[in-house]
Amino acid sequence: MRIEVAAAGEYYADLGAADQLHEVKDLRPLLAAVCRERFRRIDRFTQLALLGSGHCVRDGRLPADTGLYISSGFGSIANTVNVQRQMFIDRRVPKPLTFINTLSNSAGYYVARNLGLTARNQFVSRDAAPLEAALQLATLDLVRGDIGQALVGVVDEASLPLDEHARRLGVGADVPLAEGSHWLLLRPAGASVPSATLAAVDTLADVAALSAWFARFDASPDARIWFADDVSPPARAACPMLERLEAALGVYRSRTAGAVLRYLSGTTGEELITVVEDDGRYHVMRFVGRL
Amino acid sequence: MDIEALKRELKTLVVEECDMDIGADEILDDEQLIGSDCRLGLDSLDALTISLAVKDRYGRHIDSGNETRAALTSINHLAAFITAE
Repeated sequence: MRIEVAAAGEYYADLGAADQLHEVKDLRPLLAAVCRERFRRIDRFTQLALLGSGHCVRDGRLPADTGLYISSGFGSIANTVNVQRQMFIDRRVPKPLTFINTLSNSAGYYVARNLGLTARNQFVSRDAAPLEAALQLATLDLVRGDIGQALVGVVDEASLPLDEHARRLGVGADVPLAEGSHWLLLRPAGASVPSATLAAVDTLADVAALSAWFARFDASPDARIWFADDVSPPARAACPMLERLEAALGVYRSRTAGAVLRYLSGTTGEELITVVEDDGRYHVMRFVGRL
Repeated sequence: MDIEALKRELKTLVVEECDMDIGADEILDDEQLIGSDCRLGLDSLDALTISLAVKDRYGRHIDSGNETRAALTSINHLAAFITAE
């Protein structure tokens, strides 16, 4: 089954480097434009999910059989840090809702409620390639016919202090950081006028499998590649015909999704291939743009 | 602290802890706090949140017994519960 990207939307913010003065933006004033109601007691992770999904589903209406899939590298990390600090440093019982919001799938409840969705609602957290994890679940359900379409989002927030967050991401204090909430609405081919086709989303066991994957299709001269993270030299050697897409994004776990959104906003038929290295294996995606 | 100052403080606590959109001074002293049929419409999670905040700030534990649970009826009841000997 061919799966098409019917719509895309996001919230993205550059945060600068950890060694600069900074603050994360208050998102509450932005939420009124995308939310049907004022949601109390939601954390920033959920706010990001509501903003990104709202920007993807601009008229706020989707069929009820739309499956919802949210993924994240770190999940609700700011809340989780707060709860751990309260419990183990302050020796206090955490606030009930702070604790509940550490379960990042509560974001799925609020997004579904905001968009009136009642079908499948899943959350998956994976440190490497979180978007790919959600897309694999969503495309499986689409192919099986369990859902009519899929709203797929990947959300990663930054937590303060940023120098601590930079260490969590494994980068230096001088590296620009970012946060984002990137969303795709996927439908079976023919259901809409797509911006692109999701041609593949696969997990490959090693470099040999990566080379074999590239050999399966005839990459056009216009094909592009974007490395979500620094992949090893053998992986680069496996795909020498492709060029790196400079997406100008700060560092955060979901930045592959940020690159995909930038590609979708400007594609004129070329392909986008992403590769994320994950402890010796490789997560790959291939999008083919609409001519 | 006099009782009126305590009530003002409790109203602020309720608004902040429950992430409400109204001003603290809009809560009436005898207004029902918890329940979907009342204006404020706070729920059981709000009740638990207020209970923990009261314990943290005033050292008074609102348990599941009827007598102490009644403390969450209104700001008047909550203030009386905190100041009771």
